[in-house]
Amino acid sequence: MSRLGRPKRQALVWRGGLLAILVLIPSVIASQFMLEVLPHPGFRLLNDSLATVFGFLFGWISIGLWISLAGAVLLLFRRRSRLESGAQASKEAPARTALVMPVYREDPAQICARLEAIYRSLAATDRLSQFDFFLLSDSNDADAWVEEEVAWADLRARLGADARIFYRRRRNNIKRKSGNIADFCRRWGRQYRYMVILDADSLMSGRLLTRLVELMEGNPTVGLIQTLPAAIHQNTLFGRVQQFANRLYGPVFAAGLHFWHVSEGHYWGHNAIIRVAPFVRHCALPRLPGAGAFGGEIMSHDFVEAALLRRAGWGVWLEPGLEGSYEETPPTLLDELKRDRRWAQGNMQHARLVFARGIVSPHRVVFLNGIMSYVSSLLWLAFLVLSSIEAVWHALVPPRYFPSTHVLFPIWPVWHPEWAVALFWFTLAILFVPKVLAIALTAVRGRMRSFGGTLRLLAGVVLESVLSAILAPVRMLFHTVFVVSVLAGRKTQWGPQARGDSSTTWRQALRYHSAGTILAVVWGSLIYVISPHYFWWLLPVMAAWLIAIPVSVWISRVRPGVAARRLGLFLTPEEIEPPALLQLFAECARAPSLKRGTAARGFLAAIVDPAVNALHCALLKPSGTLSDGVALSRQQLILMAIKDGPRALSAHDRLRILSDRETVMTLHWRVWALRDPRARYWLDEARVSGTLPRPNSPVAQASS
Amino acid sequence: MVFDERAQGRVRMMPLDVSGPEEIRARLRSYLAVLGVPPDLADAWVEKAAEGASHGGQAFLKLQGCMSDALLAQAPGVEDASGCAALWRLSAWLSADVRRLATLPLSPPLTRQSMASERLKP
Repeated sequence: MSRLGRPKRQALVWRGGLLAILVLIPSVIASQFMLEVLPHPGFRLLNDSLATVFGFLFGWISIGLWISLAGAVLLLFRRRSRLESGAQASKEAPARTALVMPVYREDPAQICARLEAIYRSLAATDRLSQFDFFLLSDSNDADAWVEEEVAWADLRARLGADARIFYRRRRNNIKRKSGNIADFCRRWGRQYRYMVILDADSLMSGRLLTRLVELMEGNPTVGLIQTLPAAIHQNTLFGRVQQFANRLYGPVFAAGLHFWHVSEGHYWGHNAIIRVAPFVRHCALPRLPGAGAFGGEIMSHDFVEAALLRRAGWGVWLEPGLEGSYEETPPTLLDELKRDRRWAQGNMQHARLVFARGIVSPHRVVFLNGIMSYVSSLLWLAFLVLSSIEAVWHALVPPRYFPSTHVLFPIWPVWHPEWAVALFWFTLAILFVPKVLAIALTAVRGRMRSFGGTLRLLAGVVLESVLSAILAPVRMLFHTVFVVSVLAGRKTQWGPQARGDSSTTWRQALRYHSAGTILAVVWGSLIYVISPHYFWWLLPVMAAWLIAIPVSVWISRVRPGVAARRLGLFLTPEEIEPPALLQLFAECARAPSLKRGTAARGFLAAIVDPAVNALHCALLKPSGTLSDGVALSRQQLILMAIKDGPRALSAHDRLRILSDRETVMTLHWRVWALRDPRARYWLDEARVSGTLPRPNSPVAQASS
Repeated sequence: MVFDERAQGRVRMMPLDVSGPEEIRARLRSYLAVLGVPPDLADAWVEKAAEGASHGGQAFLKLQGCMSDALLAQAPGVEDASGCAALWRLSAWLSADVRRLATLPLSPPLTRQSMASERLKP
């Protein structure tokens, strides 16, 4: 049953039809033109394949053009959000809203600083009492677990005892992030009308959060509103370029998505508000049958959750006009590619859901779009391979002037390089029009100064375009490998995400980019020898692969990023005039943390430090009645820990110890009562980082 | 508190815990210093815990008793016997009012519900 009225359905149908026409017809024409551009007479199967692949690629890039064009028009002429104009006054009691931040082995001080900034920003709106905060940990590392608890206690101590910020760690992190949120919904979801999903690097202002709740209240058929997060806090050159591009081009593109998708929009998994009840009712994710990369848990859960909400009749809106939503982007190319490896698998998995029952067409398109984000790289490489074969073919095989008998006139080989050049420039124009639109819109709205002024903005765009052109072939090669490995059934692991200012080392760059460099040398040399004319067409791609190692290292560094900033390049509005929320975050990140009695950290602190041990015990449930077998196994674990010290404990042993309150308590007191040499296993281990007893203290002397 | 070590066919018995009175006192003092317990209170508790204790295990057990008594004196309603000493340590670290800390909800009450069955058919 749809909650949308007939006019909205009709709007969706005509928009979908129009976009299909705008993309399909030019793609077919471009494909046909490519056939004309290719040398004649050629190898027919090869030419047809080339034209088909080109048609797909042309269609793919032209989608970006039409989205941006619609976005630019929308931003230029539309002043008021569609959701705002449709909002009705709510008569219900103020809605309770949960802010949930699922984390997995993140820097706990940073995530707590973000929560504190959001909390303080909300407090300034006088609506804080409507909101509860949840730090939902899936960390499966003993050290990370304990440090998260300490950072949370620190946060509660700073904000006061009444701050409703809660910490929960899942023992079994099944279904990863989606399972983490589902676990929250099962435990506490009933108490909240809405939940705002935050990533570990998300920041959202109090004003935006209250606005989102108002929009949900005023639009009772809406199930989810996705905001457009602006990229912030980048210092590496790569990060700064991405941040600049995101900030300049992102709003136009997002407005275009808003136009074409209307209430059947995107959900990116964070910086979004969700109506809890329908989410609980309709968005439990299935485990896909079968093994390999296409089976098992759904990795890119956000697209699927949006599709399920919409299938149940709830609107899913991407609302790009709301200010105050921020996120961080990967600091280096390799970090971005590691993230892409996960996304590639998740998106490819959606191939099994494209034809799932009841999903609305726009969400099927979202699935296909996600798949094409990575498969397009495979197509691009296939295009390069096929065109190289074509060039080699024409270079090595002499033309047949009389392909069949009984022909009066010879068939001359025909090739129109000027047509090829024209097609090249036309394709390039399609790629660049969205950038031009974004610049024009920024100028029309008088926001050039927010990017450092007209000259600096234009210089930034030129440099960003050059870097994008260099990185596109590198990304293409990696994405192709990802797609092939997914098709081969290889699964990716779930690792923590890189944040902050990490840089790529030469060793890492060599490891990951050298295959591309070798490929460029071999492929480029062969083409240069066999078909020198075609070599120049391939050069931009081959050159990008050739220089990938130094480029990847250089752009991952902070120094060129900072130098660019000093020159006023790649500036964003948030840097020119930092919003109150970002200033608040900077203050929170600098705030002194709780004084700790020892320098022990992580697992060691939970056992040795009396305060951290007490905190950890307070957060664990009482052990309850244990079977003889379990009790014996825990006794053995304690004995092993006493006998051999912390270094002898495996990661799993440490988690087992930390998971049981009685075991943690018992071990704590036993460790403090131990004599040398076993006390040293623990206390010295802690003292290495500055804890007691001091080397010349009576304890150390007496023990020795 | 002894631990058997079987080495080369011989059984050697050795105490696991600190045993000399000074060693015990020093260890207790260090513990309370790490926790930031005021010196007067720390001295009193060290004497009380070390008195009659033949090894560290006994002394620290008595210290737990001191902490539990202190907690119960301020927050008599606390029922979690094993957690009393931990709660007192926590309040000492956070400089928090014990009564307030004992009743502070660490998470909202659970209101469990199940998510609907998964019905997505590829």
